Amino acid sequence: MFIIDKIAGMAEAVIQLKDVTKVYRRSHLGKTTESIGVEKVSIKVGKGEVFGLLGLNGSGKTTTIKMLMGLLYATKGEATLFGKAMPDASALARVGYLPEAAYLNRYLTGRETIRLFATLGGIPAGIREDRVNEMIRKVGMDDWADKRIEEYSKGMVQRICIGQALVHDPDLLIFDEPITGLDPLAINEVRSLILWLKEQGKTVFLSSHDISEVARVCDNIGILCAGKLAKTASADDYRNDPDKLEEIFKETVSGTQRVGALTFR
Amino acid sequence: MIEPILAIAGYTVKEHVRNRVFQLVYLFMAVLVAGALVVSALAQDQRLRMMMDSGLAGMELIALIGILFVTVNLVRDESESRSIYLLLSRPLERWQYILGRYLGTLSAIGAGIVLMALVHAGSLLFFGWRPDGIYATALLCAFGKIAVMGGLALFLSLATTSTPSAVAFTLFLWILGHFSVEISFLVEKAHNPFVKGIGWLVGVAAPDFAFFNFRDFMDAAITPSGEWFAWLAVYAFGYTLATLFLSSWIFSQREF
Repeated sequence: MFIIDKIAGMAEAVIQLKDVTKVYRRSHLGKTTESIGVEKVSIKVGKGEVFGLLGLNGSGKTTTIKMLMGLLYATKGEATLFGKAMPDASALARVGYLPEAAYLNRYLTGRETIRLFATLGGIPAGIREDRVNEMIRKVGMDDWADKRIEEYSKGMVQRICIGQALVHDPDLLIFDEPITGLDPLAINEVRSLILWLKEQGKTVFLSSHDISEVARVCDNIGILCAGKLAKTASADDYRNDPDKLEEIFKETVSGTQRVGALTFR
Repeated sequence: MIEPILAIAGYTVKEHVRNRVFQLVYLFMAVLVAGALVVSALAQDQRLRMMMDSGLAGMELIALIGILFVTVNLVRDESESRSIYLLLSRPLERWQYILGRYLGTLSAIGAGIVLMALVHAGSLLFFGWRPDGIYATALLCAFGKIAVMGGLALFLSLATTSTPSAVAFTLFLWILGHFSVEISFLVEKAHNPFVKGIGWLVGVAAPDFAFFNFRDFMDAAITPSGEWFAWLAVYAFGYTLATLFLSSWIFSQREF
């Protein structure tokens, strides 16, 4: 078991996973099959920290994030945000979530979407409209805000999704593979956003496949292999050597792939 | 506590309106106009009676089809499109989501009933009808039935694993609900405890549409008493609340 607790005297653990295990059970025709999503994962992330969770496809990154968001319930162990066991509404009020793909209701406009999440995020009615307009401006969607999501390109949907995650000024941002499928310019923008959030003192927890991006922005990383937290490292271990994190990653995940390699030669 | 429910209900109404749920209303209007042309050859009293009966039955049927097919996919669609992830990642209790989605859907279908009623009443007036309290009672009963069926369809959509099975069970209970008096009679007369038990269970699970029967008042041309309205409201509210409570409980166990 690995515990990340690099910040000496860390007053408040914003995120804490204690020996968390998730077992998926599926029943069909009276037969129940089980598969392990994650097993005995322990992670602690402090205030203002940018933490990256790395791993191959199916290693348990999204399962971990869903347990933090209260979308999945841990089979064993405990997932807490701001000291509250999830799911907890008061903790979720302080979280902004950007999922792997931007899942938005296609019948709403961008403005209606951000307004909806502002309302759900508890922004008082008196200042809500100003906050919505400000967020639309910040994500660069002034000219498109009143068109329906179904008319947007992937990049526009991603911008509205970023807007909904930030509109209530959360203390913690959870990004699930935020740069997957984005073009290089958009990747650059997401990177700048994460660094800006760090400057603002926000805590960021992100999962990614992209080792070089993680190396650029994260203070600490964890590598998941087949549902287990196999390795942890801090920026001191890789920031001065761009290839170091890739080496660490390859060493850690080597031989843990659940499928064979492609063999077209 | 109320604001998140209203926010969910508000976007649900927009979703239904933009997803063309009101096409059913246009269908009703087209059928009504065609029907009016067909019955225009009849004598005035027959014509009015036929238009009144078929119009009210048509409105109820169209509203039932609307609430049934919209509600059984209400949570399922949002789960499959995964847009539910973002909603549930906010400080939103699961029961608030269920209640908001239900109220939004009921409001959209209720607006559809009002639109259909306006067109229907307009066509009746054209043929010389004089408005009375019974017409409003009939609309209230139709809305009550739709409210109950919406709650039931939502519960069954969460309790079953597929849309067709949810639709089938809801329609089955809708049909049984029109035979509540007969089922009670059978339970009373049955000697076999198993049959008695099954009959009782069906009687409890299926909505009792005897509470919504305005036909007797229509035939006698009298307006129902305040007590009758009170029982109608208590039953519709109680049954719907029970289905929403069960829906919320099932939904709170769900993982995404």
